[in-house]
Amino acid sequence: MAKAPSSLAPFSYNWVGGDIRGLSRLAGTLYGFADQAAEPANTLQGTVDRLVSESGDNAWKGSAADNFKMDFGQDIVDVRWMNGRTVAVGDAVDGLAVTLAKIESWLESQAEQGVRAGYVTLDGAGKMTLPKGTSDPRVQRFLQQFNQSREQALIAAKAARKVAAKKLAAEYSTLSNGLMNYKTNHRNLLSKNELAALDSNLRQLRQGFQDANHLLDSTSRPGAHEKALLKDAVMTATTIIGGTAGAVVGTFVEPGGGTIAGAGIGGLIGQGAGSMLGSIFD
Amino acid sequence: MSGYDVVFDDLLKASAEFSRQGEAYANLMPHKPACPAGGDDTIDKMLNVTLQALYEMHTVLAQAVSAHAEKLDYTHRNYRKTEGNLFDYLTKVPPPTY
Repeated sequence: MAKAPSSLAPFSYNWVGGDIRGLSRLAGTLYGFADQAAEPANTLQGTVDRLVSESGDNAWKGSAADNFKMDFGQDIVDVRWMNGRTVAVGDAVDGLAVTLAKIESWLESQAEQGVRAGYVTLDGAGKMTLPKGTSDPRVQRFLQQFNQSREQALIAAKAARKVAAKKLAAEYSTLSNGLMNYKTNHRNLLSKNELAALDSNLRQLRQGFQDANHLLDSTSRPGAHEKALLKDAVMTATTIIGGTAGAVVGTFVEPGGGTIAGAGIGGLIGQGAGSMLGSIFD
Repeated sequence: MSGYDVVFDDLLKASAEFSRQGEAYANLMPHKPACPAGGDDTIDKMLNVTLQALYEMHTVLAQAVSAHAEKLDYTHRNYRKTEGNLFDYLTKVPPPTY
């Protein structure tokens, strides 16, 4: 049975960016692919075993048969390896969807506080309006806090994307090595046209990866503003975890002990501040 | 001869199975999976290139499986041909002159 994508925290709008549900669906597609690909591999394994190995006197024997078995045995290993890579890419995408959903959900819950207090209204698309204007200091305070939350959420989302991009970069490198292995060590399994296509596609992949990796490297240089916000985010998360933020605590804590701080704004506390946001700002 | 016949049949069956499974495997991912927006250029580009590499690897593996189908078929044909040559040799060789 195929692995299922993780369930997402509830959210209604798209304030932090990205097609969160689309990412989750992609993870499901990749898990499904890996599951389905197991069948051809198992069928072929059975075919090779029946043909070559201990099936009696009538089996195909000799050095050619042994070489064939060894050759195809490697194919089976590679198909299963490929399934592992597919699941790993699915996991990276699934993890991103889960984290972005948590951040989005948290941010929307922040806005909901303003809705409940009557400071703001939200339409179906998530557009915020101010029915009472901004003269009330309580409205001003809410807007200030919400804007800060929003900025923190965007930083957290950016961090989550960077974490996912790094995981994907590692998977890309592994896949690229696999392709190079076929290009150099298994040339006899590919036709001239297939080898030419592989060559061309490898060049395009390399260029595409360089472009993506360059962007990934450049995200390591935050501005002063982002650094200040990060500091605020740490303080916020610390306050929340410490339980001094009163009613806000409830909006962060999820069933099972996970926290938005741990997964989103944080990564900071629950899942290691250093490894997530910290890695952006080092 | 019956032993050879069984091996020949097995080679043919295996070739057909490889061909079927190679095609089935290829059809599992007929094109690169669609790439949803991740929310910024970095993740979009990295996800896109990784999915492209995944698709390319899948294609190459499917081609390798199909190549094995052809190799089995080639082996079958060669064995048949060799057997035919031997049979021809044994039946057409001139009788001894002594």
